[in-house]
Amino acid sequence: MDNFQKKFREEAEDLVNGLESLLLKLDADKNNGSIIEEIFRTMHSLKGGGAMFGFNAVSDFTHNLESIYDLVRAGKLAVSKELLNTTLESIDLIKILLENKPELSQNDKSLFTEIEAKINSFIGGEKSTTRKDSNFIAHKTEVTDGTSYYILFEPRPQIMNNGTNPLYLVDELVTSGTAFVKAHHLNLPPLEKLNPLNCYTSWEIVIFTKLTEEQIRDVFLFVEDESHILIDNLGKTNILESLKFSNYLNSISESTEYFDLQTLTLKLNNADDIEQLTFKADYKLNALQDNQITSIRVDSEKLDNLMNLVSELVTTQAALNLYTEANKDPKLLQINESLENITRHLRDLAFNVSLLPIETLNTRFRRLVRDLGADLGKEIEFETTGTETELDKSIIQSVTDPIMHILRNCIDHGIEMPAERTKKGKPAKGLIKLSANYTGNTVRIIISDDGAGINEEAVLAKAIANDLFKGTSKLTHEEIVNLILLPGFSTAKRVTDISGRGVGLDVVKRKITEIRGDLEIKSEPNKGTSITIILPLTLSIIDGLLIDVNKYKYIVQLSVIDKIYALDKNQLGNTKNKIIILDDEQIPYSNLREIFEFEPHNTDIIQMLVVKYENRKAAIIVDDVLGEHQAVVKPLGKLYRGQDFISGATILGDGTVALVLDTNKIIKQLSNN
Amino acid sequence: MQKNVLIVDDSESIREVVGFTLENAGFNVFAGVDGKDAQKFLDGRRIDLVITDLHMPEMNGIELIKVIRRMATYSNVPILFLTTESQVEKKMEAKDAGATGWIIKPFVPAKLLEAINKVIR
Repeated sequence: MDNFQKKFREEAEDLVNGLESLLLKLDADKNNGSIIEEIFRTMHSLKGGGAMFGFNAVSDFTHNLESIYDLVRAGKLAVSKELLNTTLESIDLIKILLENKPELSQNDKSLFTEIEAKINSFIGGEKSTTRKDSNFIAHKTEVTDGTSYYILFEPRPQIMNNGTNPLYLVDELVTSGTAFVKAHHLNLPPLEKLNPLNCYTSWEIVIFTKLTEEQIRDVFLFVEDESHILIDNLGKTNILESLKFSNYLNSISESTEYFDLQTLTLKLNNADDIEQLTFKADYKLNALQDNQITSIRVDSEKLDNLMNLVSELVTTQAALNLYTEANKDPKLLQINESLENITRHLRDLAFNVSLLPIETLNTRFRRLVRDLGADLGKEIEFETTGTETELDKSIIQSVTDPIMHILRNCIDHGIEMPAERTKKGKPAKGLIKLSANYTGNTVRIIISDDGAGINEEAVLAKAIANDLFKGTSKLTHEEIVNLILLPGFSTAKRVTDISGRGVGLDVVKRKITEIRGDLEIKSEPNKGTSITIILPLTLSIIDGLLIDVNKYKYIVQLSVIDKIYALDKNQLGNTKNKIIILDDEQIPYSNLREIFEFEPHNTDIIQMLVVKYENRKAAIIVDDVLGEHQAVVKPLGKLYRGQDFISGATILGDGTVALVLDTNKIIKQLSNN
Repeated sequence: MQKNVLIVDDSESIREVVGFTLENAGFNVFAGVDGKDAQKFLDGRRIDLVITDLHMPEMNGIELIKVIRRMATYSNVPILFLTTESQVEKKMEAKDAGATGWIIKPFVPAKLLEAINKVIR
C-alpha cells in the first residue's frame, strides 16, 4: 500500500464513520433532505476516491449504494428500516473492503454477495449503470457491433413547405440504434417575426449504430441540399454507455448552446484526468465541510455598499430592458432575459442578507422595561412573541427609537402604580407585550400594555387647550385617541425625563411614516392601550407595476395588486357613489386623474387596478398599464413630506422619474369615505 | 387510420406495381394517368402522399407539383417523384417546384417503402 493509498484509507475511514452517524441521524428524521444529500455526497466521494486509488471493490460497491440514495434523493424510494439496515451492513462491509486484501475470506465473500443482492433488490434489479440522463437516451435497436457518430441536423426554416417533416428523419435515424438527441431553438426569431409554418429547430444526435456514414447521409437524402448536416465518426466504442460521456452531458445539461465538438472529443479522450480533477474538487469541498463556518459577521457598511450596488444594477437592468425591447434582437433578448433573472435573484439574495430578526432588539427593550419600571417603582413583566419575524436592517434601525419611545410611554403613562392597580382589581404586576407578525407585504409590530388606557377627557381637554381641536363637533372614541398623534401633544401631568421630552407620539408617527409605515392606536379605559406599527417588508427595491396617468408614470407595488380589469366605461354604472361590482364584489373605486386633479380622460375602455390592503379592497382607475418594473425606491425630499399618496420616487430605464403610489393610503381614504 | 396515396403515372405497369406494393403495405391508393387526370382526386378529400412521374402527356409532374403546392388543402402534402439516376437537373427542378423527395427507377418494393417512410408515418 503506497502513501497515497494510506492517505485515502484514512480519509475513507473518516468518511465511513461520518456516513454511519449520518445514517443514524436519518433513522431519527427519515425525510430530512439535507441528510440524504450529505449521505449521497459522502458515498460519491468514497466512490471517486476508491476508483482513483485502486480500491476498485470499494468503488464498485459504493457505486451501487450511491444509486440507492440517488433514488431516495429523487423521492423514488422511501427511507425504510430495511434500507437503513442494509446500508449500515454495507458500511461494515466497506470497512472490510478498505483493507484492500487481495482475496476476501470465504465469510466476507458470502456477506458481500448477500448484501449486494439486497442492494440490487432496492434498485429494482436494475443494473446501476442507468444515469440521470437515461431518459434522453432512446434504446430502439440493440446494437452490439457498431460505430458512434455525432450528427448535427440543421434544416432550413422553410423545410416544411414542401411536405418534409424533419422529425421523421430524426426518428428514422434514432430507430437504427441507441441515440442521445438534443433539440435546439437557437435561431428562434422574436414573436412578431416568427412564421408558424417554419421550422426553427435543429438537432444534435449522438448515436451508436450499425449504419455506415453513407447510410446516415442517405437518411437525409431528400433534404441534404437544404440543410446543414454534419456527421462525425466518434469511433467504434459506444460512447453513450461511457461514464465520461454522461459526465459531459451532465456538465452541459443547462446549456442551450451546441455541443462543442472539439471539447467533446477532447474531453472524451482526457476524461480520466477530468474525473480526477472533479474528484479532487469534491475532496476540497468535503474538507471544507469538516470545519464548516455557518455564519460570518460582515461590516454593515459593506452590506450597505452591496445594497447600493444592487440598486444601481436594478436601475441599469431597467435601461437594458428598455433597449432590448426597442431593438428586438433575438440574441439580445435571450441574454437580457437571463441577466434579468440573475439580477432578480441577486436582489432577493442581497435583501435576505440584510434581514434581521426583531429579537435582536429584545435585550434593549427588556432592559428598558426592567430599569425604567424599577426607577418608577412599578413592577412590569415584558413578554415577546413572534420576534423571530425578520425586517430589513435599515427598517430595524429606523424603528428602534420609535419602539423605545412607545415602550417608555407604556411604562410611564400606561402601567399604573402597584397600589392603584390592586385597587382596580388588577394584578399588581403590570404586563407589556410586544408581538410581531407578517401580514401580506407588511410586518406588524404590536406593543400593548394592560394599564390605564388613554384618558379620553384628558386628551380632549388638552387638545382643546393646545388649539389642536376646536371642540365643536362630537368625536368618536377612536378619533379622540388618535388626537394624541397630532404634533405637539403631551398629556403627562409633569414632564418626566422619560417619555415627555417635548416630543410625543406625533414624532413616532412621523418617523414611521418616513419609512412608508403606519401607526394605529387602540385604547380602552383601565384595560390598556395597544399600538400597532405597520411596516413595509423592504425599503429600497420593490417589484412594481408601471402605470400611466396623464402621460406621467407611476409605480404601484405589485404585491398589493389583486387583479387588473379592462372595462367598458358603461360598466362603471352609477358614478355618484363610486362603487363598482366586480366578480360579485362591491369595490369602492377612485380615478387617479381626479385625485391628482388632472383633466378627465375620455376613453371607452377603462383600466382598473384592484388593490388590496389587509382584507379591504379598492380599485383605482389609471390611463394605461405599462408593465412590470423593478423599482429602486428613493425617498422624496423634505418639501414633499406632506404627500399622502406618494411614498417615494424611482428612476426608470429611460432616465425619467416615476412616483411610487402608496395604495394603502388610497384604500384607507376610500374606505373611510 | 389508413393513409391515402395518389399515384400519377402514364405507364400502366408502374401504376400497377406501385399500387400493388402500397396496397399490400396497408395504404389506400388512387391512381391518375397524368397531371390533369390526377386533379380529379384533389377535390378536398384527404391525401397523405402523392407519388408522381415527371414525364407525362397532359400536364407533366413538375407542373402538377406546382399546382398542388398552390392548393391550400394540399400545400403541405408530401410529394415524391419518380426519376432515373441520370436526370440530375430534373431532380433539382422538381425540388424547386416543391417536391419532398424522389424514388429512383427502377426500384424494388422495399426501396419504395423506405422512401415513403421518410416522409409519412
